[in-house]
Amino acid sequence: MFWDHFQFWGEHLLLVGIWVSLALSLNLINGSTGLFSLGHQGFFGVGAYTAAMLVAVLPEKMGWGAPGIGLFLLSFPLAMLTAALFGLLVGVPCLRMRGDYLAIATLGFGEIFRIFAINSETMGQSRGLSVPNVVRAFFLDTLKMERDDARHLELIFYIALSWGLSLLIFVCMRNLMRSAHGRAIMAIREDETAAELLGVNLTRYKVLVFVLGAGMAGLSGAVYAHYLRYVVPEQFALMQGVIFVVIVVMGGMGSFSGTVIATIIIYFIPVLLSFSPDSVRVPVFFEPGRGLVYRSPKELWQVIFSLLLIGMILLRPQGIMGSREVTFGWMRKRAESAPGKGGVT
Amino acid sequence: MTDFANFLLNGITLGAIYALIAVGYTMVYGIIKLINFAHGEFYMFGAFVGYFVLTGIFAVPPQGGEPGYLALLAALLAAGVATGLLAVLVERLCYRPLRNAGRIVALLSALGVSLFFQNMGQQAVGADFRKFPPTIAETRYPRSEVPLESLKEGQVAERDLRLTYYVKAEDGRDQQRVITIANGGEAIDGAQLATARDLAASSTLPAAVHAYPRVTVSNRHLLIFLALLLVSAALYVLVMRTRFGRAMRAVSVDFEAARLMGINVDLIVSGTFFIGAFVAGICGVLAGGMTFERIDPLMGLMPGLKAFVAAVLGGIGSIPGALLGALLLGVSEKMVEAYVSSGLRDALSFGILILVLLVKPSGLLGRFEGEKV
Amino acid sequence: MSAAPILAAEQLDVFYGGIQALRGVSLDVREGELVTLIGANGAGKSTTLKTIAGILAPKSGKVRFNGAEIQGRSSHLILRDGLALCPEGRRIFPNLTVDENLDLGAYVRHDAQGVKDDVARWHATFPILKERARQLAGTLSGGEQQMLAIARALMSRPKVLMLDEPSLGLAPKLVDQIFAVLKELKGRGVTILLVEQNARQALEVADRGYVLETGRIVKHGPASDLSGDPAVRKAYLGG
Repeated sequence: MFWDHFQFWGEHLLLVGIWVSLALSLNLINGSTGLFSLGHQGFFGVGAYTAAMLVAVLPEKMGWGAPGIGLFLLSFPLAMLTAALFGLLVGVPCLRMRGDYLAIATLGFGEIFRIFAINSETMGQSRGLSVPNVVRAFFLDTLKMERDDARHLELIFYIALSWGLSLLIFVCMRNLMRSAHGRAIMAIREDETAAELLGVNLTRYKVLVFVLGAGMAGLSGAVYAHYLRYVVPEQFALMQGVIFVVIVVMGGMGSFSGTVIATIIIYFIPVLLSFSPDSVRVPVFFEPGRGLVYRSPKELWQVIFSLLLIGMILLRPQGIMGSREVTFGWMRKRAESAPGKGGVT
Repeated sequence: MTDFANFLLNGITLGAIYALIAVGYTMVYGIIKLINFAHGEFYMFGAFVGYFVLTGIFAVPPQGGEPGYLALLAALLAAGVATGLLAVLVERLCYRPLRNAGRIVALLSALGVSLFFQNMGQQAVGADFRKFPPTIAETRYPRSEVPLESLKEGQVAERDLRLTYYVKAEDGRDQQRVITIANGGEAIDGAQLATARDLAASSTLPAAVHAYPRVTVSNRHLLIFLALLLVSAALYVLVMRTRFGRAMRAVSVDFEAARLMGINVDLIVSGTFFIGAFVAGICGVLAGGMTFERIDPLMGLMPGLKAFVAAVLGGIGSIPGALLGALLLGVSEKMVEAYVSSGLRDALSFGILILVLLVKPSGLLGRFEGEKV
Repeated sequence: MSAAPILAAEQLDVFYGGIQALRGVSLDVREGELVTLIGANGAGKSTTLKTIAGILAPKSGKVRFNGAEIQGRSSHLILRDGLALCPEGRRIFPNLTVDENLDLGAYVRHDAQGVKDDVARWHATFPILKERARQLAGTLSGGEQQMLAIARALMSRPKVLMLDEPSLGLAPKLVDQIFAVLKELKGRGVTILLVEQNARQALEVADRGYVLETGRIVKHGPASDLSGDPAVRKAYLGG
C-alpha cells in the first residue's frame, strides 16, 4: 500500500526535482548575470541526447552488447561537458549582445538544436531514441535484487539524484551571487548602459556563469533521459523553455524557495486540471456554422499557462518572491529565542 | 537552368511573404523597441478571419470554391481590419502597461501573447489543418493558347500543354480544373488527348488548351507581389510624406520630446500596431490561405520567426531593410532547400540570425542605434 | 500688463520616488513678461518646468494656465492649450530634416498656410536653419540645434514658451546669440518662462526672477532688484 502511493507521489517528486534543477540552472544564469536565455531547453536537450546516445546508440554501434553501469555513470559528466561546450559556443558570441537580442539569439540556438535532432538519423529524427534502463538492470542482474526492491530503489535513487543536483546548483548560484562580480552585476542589472560601461570585466564572468548553467542543464537532461527512458525533440521545444522562464520569473531571481514553490505550482496545475470530471465543459469559441465549441479544463492547461505568464508579468514583474527566501514565523521565533532560553535572569 | 529560375522565383515569392510580415515587426520595433513575438500570430489570425468570411458569409465550400476577386477583396479587408483591431487591443492590454518596465519584460509579455493565441487557437478551431478555399481560379503566366483540334497523337509538344476546363461545383458555381495533356519535349499520348477532348466537350464554360514555358508564375503569386508593391509604396508615402509618418518617426526617437510637440504618443503607437497587423492579416489570407492552401493555429510560428530574422537581417526598425532582408532570406531558404537539404532550411534562418546579431547587429540597412542614456 | 497671470504654479510638491524635489513652489508669469527661474544645479529648476509641462505629476499643488487648472493633464494636451516647453538638452529629432522638425513643432496646427509663413519667419530669424532646411537635424552643431529647438517650440504659436537651459553646453559666443534671440522674442511680445544656470545674462533680459534653492523659492522680485541683491550676487553672479 505504502509503496503504491510512493510510486505515484515519488514520480511527481522526482519530476519536480528535475524541473527545479533546470529552473535553478536557468536562474543561475538569470539571477547572477541579469541575462535572459530563451534557449535553456536546448542545453537540457543536449545533455539528454548525449546521455541517451551514450547508452542507447554507442554500445549498439560498437557491438558492446547491453550498456553497463560504467557507461551510465560516465554519461553524467559527459552530458554536462557537452552541454557546457555548447554553452561556450553560444555564450562567447551571444553574451556581448543586448538583452532582447540575446534572448532571441539563444532562442535561435534552441530551435537549431531541435531542428537538427529532427533531421539527424543518429538522433532518431522525430521518433527520438529509447534509452535502456541501465539502473534497473544493474540492481537486478549485478546486485541480484528482488524486482519490487529494484523498482523502489531506482525511484529513490533518481529522487536523490534530482534533488541533490538542485541543491548543488543552488549552492553554486549562492556563491556566485555573493562574489564581487555577482554583486556588481546585481547592482547594475536594471541598467544596460551602466552594464556596458563595466562590460569588459563582466563578460568573462557572464560567459563562465552561462557555461556553468548550460552544463548543469545538461546534467538535468541526463537524469531526465535516463529516468524517462526516451528522448524526443518535442521535449525540448520552445514551449518547454518558456515554462522554465516562467518558473524563474515567478519564483524570483536567485531564490531557492521561490523557485521550488513556483515549480510546484506550475507542475501541479495540469495535474490538478487532469482530475476535472469529463462532465465539466467550458465554451471557448463560437464557430460560424458549427456553433459553440466546448473544451474540458484539462485541455485548457496551456491556455491558462499563457494567461498566467501575461498576468504575472503585468501584475508582478519582480516575481512572487522577489529575491527573498521563505522563512516561516515559527522558525524565526525559535531561532531568536533559542539562545535566550537558558539565560533568563 | 530552368530549375534554378524556378527556385529563384519561388524564393522571391517566399521572400515577398516574409516581407509582408516583417514590415509590421520592424515598424513596431522601430517605434517602441519591442520584439513583438505575437506578430506571427497576427498573420495566423488574419488567415482565419479570411477563412471564416469566405466559408461563412460567402458560403464557399473549403474543398474548392472560387467565388472570385470580389469575395477575395472582402476577405482581405475583413482580415486586415480585424487583425489590426486585435493588435491595437493587445498593445493596449499587454504592452502599454509595461512601456517603462524594460525590454525583456515586454518581450516576455509578447511571448505570452504569442503562446496564448497559439494555444487558444488550437482549442477554439482545433489543432488540425484546414483546407483554405482556393477563392480565385489559378492561372499561370506566361501562356499562349493552342487550338485543341490542332493537336495530334504522337506529335512532340514543344512546351507543356495543359487543358483548362470547368465543372459545376457543389455550390452551383463553375469551378476551374486543369489537366496536363503532355509535358514539353514529350509526344502526345492518344488516350490522354481523347480524355482532354471529352473534358473540353463537357466543360460548363469554354475550355482551352494552353502552352506553358518551363518557368511560370501563378496569379496568386502575382497577387502577393502586387500586395507587397502596394504596401511598400503606401508605407513609403505614409512614413515620409504624411503628418502621421512624421509623428511616427519622432516618437521612434524620443517619446517625451514627441509629446512636447503635442503628439499623442499612445495614438501613434496604436496606429503603428494597426498598420503592421493589417498587413500581416492580409498576408495571412494571401500567403497562408491561398498560396499554402492550408491553415492551422500554429501556422504563424515559423513565418513569424522568419520574418523577424528578415527584419534583423535588413536592420530592425528600417522598412526598406525589412523588405531587402525578407527577399534575401526567402531566396536563400529556397536555394538551401533545393541544393543542400530541405530539413536544414529552418535552421538556416536561425543561423543567419545569430550571425547578423554577432557581426552587424544594425543589419544591412539599419542605422546605428544610439542607446538613450 | 494685465492683472491676472496667464501662467501660475501654486504650492507644487513633487517627488522622485521617495525624494522630494519641489517643496511648495509657487510662481506666476503675466502676459508679455519674460520671467526667469535661476538656481544651482539640482535646485529643481527643470523639475518645475517639467511639472508645469505635464511630464511630471505633482503630488500636491496646482498649475493654472489661461484660467484653467492643468496639473495632471497629459503633456501633449498641455501643448495644445498653448503652453510649450523647449526641453533641456534640445531634444531635436536627429533622424528628421530641419524643416521636418519645424513642421512637427506645428503638429497641433491645421492652418497649412500659417505654418508655411511661420517656417519662413523662423528661417528669416535663424538664417542657418534656412540654409540647412533639408539636412538631417542630427548633423547640426550644438548651437544650431538649440536655435532649431527654440524655433520648433515657437512653431506651435504658444501663448507661453518655457525654455529649459537654452545656453547649456554652448560656446560663449553662441550663448550671447541665444540671449539676443530671447531679447528679440520678448520684443515681439512672446511670453517666456526661462530656466537658466547663467543667472547674470538671464537677469539681464528678464523682467522678473525667482531664485530656487533645494526645491524652494527663496527670493523673487524684479530682475534688477535680484541683480542688486548681495546674497544673489554672491551665490549666482560670482560676487
